Amino acid sequence: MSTSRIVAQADAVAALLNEHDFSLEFDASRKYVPIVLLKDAEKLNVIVVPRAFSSERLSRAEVEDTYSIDVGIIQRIQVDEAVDALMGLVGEVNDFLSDAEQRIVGGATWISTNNDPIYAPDHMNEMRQFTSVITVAYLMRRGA
Amino acid sequence: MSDLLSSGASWLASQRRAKLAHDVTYSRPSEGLEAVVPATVGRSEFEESAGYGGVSASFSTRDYLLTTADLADVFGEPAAGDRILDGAATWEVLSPGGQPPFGYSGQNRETVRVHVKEVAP
Repeated sequence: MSTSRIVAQADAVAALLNEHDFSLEFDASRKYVPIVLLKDAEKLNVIVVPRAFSSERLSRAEVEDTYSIDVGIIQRIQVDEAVDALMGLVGEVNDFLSDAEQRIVGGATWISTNNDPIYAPDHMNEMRQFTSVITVAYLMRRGA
Repeated sequence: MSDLLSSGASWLASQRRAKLAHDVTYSRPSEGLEAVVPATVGRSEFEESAGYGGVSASFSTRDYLLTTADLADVFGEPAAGDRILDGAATWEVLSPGGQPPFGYSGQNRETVRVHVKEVAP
């Protein structure tokens, strides 16, 4: 059975996050269906999802692939102080994935990080749930 | 002349409480308040929130009909964050789609409809 390259990339990002010590503990997992049940969101959920893939020919012999991976950070909150801590974690993950030492992941090179939404106000208002999504893009060149 | 419709609505509200309700535990954890009150389950659905980059939340949602007077002495009006323990399930009062988390029913405000979502106990 062949392994999808973007799934392998998402697995590599999840493994990288799990190896690092952040200010809040979590166990990142790669998922195909990134839906969290509200009643399961009391604990901190960090989910890694393959988002998009594109490929471009550079020459007769070389192709450049771009992988976009979403990292969702989700937890129910009861007090504003908890939001402060989660916003801190989002910043840490952003910095960590963009850090020079982490720029090669699964053989691909980091090219950009986009944090949108930084947090979802509607989730906070309607569910008291903190939701933040970080999209990380990686580039990999391979033989055509 | 008596207001026949108003007195009829009051009678129906009393019948709902007497014949169509079961006991639930209503609480306000932030203030340590708790009371057992009769409640009737209204609308009940399963919904999914707006997604962000495909990341979304799903939840069971329902309305409870409660007698305003049953809550008034202990809690005043319902508030977001209040909880209802009904059997094994815990429900939290939360605003649906930017609306208030509760509303009154009937012209005499004898019944209050609270919007809840299922959460972890």
